[in-house]
Amino acid sequence: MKINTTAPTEPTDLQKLIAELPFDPAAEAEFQGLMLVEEILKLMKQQGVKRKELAKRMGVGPSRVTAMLNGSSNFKLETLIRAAHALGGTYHHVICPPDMKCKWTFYRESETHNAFSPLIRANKKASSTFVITKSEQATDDDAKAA
Amino acid sequence: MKNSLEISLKTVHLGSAKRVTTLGINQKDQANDYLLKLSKSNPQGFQSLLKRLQAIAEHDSFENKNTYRHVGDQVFEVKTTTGLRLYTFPDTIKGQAHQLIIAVSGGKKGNKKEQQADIAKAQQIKKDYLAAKKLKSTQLTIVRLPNEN
Repeated sequence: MKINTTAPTEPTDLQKLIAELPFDPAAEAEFQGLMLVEEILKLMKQQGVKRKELAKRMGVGPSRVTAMLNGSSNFKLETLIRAAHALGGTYHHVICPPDMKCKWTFYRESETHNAFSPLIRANKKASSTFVITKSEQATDDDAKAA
Repeated sequence: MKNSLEISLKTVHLGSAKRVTTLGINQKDQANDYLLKLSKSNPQGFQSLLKRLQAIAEHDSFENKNTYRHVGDQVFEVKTTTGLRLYTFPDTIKGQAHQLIIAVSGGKKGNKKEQQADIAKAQQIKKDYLAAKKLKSTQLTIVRLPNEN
């Protein structure tokens, strides 16, 4: 089998059609709803939480959980907060400013370098310089291990 | 099977995890035709299918079985709440960073018999594709998005 990868000089009819689709809030809501449901389902899978248990933890009836996970309903903010809390998490949202892309990062505070801590970020002088404290300098043991 | 088959995978959407394409074998591309037709006859349904594909393409594995369901023989059904269906299968191609979701055909919620026939058709197209891939003479083209680097 021979493989070619081409960027078409002319987009295909379907590509053109998709590129020219007007912004549709309902369709965008559908997409964001699917992404949210996926987040919830992944956490449920990780923690081995079934729908019935989630409903119990959220303090709602099982039918509400089914409706939420079907993704066909609009989410109530409170439902999302309940779901996140029920899975031991917190709910966050963001509105991306114009001409920007948005990416989420999860991190543990204990695994983050001091330079990124809120205290240092607040101090503008320190934020532009990386200062390695004594405890962070490589010890002889580290050198041997390397 | 004829000699020198031409496979054309036309990108519909490029997500952060997966590339969604339609599958054309010797210029015959049922999913492409289905989606083009749907965009005219049912623009809302078309958008809905598209958004579902986009959401699936953002994830390495998709848990939402209401939207993306295995219907046998590694064929997956992308389903809207209004009963539209697009049949796809996953694949990888050497040297390509993205996993592929290849759309082969579409249909809508009909009776069980019609649905089974749609699924069988999709499974057959997938088989034809895999057989064609094994032939040395086959030409496979991945048509990227126009704005892709």
